[in-house]
Amino acid sequence: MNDNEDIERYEQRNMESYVNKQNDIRNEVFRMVDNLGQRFLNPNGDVVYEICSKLSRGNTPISANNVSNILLNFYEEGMYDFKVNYDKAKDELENNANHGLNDNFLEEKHKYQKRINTLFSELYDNEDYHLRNNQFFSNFVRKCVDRFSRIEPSIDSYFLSDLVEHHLKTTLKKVQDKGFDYCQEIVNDGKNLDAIYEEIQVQKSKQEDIEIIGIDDKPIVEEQPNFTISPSGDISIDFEKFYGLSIEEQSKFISETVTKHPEHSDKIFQTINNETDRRKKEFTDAKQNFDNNNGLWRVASNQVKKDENSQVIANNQSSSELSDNRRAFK
Amino acid sequence: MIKEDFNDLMEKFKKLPLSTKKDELIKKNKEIISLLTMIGEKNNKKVDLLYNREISDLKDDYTEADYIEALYAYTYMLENVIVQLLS
Repeated sequence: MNDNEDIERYEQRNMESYVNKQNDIRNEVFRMVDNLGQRFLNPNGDVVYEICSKLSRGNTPISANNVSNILLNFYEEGMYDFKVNYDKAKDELENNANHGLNDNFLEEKHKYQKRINTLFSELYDNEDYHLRNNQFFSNFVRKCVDRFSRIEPSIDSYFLSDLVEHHLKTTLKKVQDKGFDYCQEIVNDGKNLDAIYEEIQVQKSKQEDIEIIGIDDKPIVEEQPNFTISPSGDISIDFEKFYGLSIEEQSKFISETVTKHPEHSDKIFQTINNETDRRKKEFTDAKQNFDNNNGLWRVASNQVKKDENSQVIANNQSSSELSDNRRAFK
Repeated sequence: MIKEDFNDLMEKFKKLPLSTKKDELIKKNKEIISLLTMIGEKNNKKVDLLYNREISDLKDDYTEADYIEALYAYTYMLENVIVQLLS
């Protein structure tokens, strides 16, 4: 056997392994699609929810990265396209006064299965990474990672992130071709992940046989603040969200933002520092105002005045309040 | 007036960074303890402060647990000052 034959066999084995792996994923999707049955009657989240729900019950050996793949594809391609077909199918069903899984509906389902099949093929063939830094997809990836790493906490979030990112990269070109609106629509859909995750937790709590160790140990990952840079270089940060983050999350947000926009790093730091200083000053002013007019400082300072000039009662009102203060202790 | 001032103060407090909020909470405890101690002494009541080493754990790189423990210690210190003033 010469070297070429070795290489050929090696590549063939690799390819077989690769194809088998992809077939496993694909079959898993098909199996789920079949099991879901009339869940397709409501494409606005129930399908995804059902998958997550099944996974959360531990009925399938599927891993979190498979969930990511499936959900991303539902959101990016399947759910979007299916909704169009769903509306048509629903009209037909209603017109026929038949709310079961009639032939028309099953036909739609098979079409959808084909689309998934095609999508998976394209996923692994397409190597275009043109929208690598697309902010909207970054948000969506983060949401997926946040949620799915909690569904399966044993998976390292960076590892999961890489997996999700890998699959996103391969589909981004398609989204780029379809334009910004489509991209935004996907991100909006991504918001449903919050509700899905909450539902999963409810389901989990109802299942006695579910392994929940580690689920609640994971800190809740806060949603990241919006960050935008205008064409003129003006920076805008959602400070309400930013200051609601934990210190670690704030550091992470700053670090990620500066990494993404190194050319604006000084301005980013300056914007955050200025806002922090402004808020601190506002608070200091409000605190001084309260203390001077209503706080313990006023009683104490009046008491000092009284002692410094024991012959004069500096302020009848303060003396009275001090007495009140003392009475409150008795 | 006091209610409006307090509402305004709380609104501004809510907008502070979390680290500053935490610092303010400790600072407020210290202020009250100091002022009550001073008022006690002005009224010829000697006040001894109930120190605990947890308070000294509040350095720049303190953990959440360090902070809670220090806050707990300050709260008890405050309570003890009040107890001495009432005794």
